Amino acid sequence: MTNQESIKGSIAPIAWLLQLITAIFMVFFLGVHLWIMHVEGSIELTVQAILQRIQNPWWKAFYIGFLLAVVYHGLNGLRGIIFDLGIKRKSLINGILWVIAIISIIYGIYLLYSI
Amino acid sequence: MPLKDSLYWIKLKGKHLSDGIAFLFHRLTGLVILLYLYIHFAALSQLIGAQSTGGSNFKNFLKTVESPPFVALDILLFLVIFYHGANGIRLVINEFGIGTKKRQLFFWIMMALGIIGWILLSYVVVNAFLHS
Repeated sequence: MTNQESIKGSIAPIAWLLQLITAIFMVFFLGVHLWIMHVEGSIELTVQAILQRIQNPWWKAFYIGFLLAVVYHGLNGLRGIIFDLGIKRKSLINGILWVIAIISIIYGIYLLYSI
Repeated sequence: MPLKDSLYWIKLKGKHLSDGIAFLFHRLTGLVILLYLYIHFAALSQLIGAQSTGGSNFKNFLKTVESPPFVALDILLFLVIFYHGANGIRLVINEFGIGTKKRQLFFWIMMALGIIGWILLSYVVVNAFLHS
């Protein structure tokens, strides 16, 4: 296959593998989320229904998994795009994206527990 | 790396739809979804303390987004998500060496599945909006 469609050469092999793994998880997490919010929830998307669901520890675990997968997949994908631009200060970019990732995950978990 | 080389993925000339162009749109839709993630965080922040306050802020927010322009934006967002998802599944499968010999066919099968998913979800959302 051509390598035009792969970020394999842009990032480290482990990051590339994690990008694939999180992609598979994202199909599951996003599929369930869209179903719950827009198919089941389309009947009546209320604050009460959201609050009730979010109190369930299994749903909390689900959304923490979703959060970890989406933040990693999104920011790692962004990293691939930035690296493909030929930027030389890769350590700086990595550092900035790690800070954004950690803040995003902390804020997401804070949201889950402060609702 | 010269700039013209580093921007190889953004150029359309000489590329096939199921190859470089699909990857260009994959990256662009990925950026849109990443941007939406942070907009979603901002929207959900209105739920902070909702357990004790009853979520009046979020109820007002729901009233705003349950309007035709926002439903239209939702439908567009679903298209972006279904494209990225369907093409992403194709890329993951391709990375394992499967479907690489029939790339065009595989691409169009995944696009068809993505469009079917998008139409079904859009129908459910529009139907719910019209009957709310």
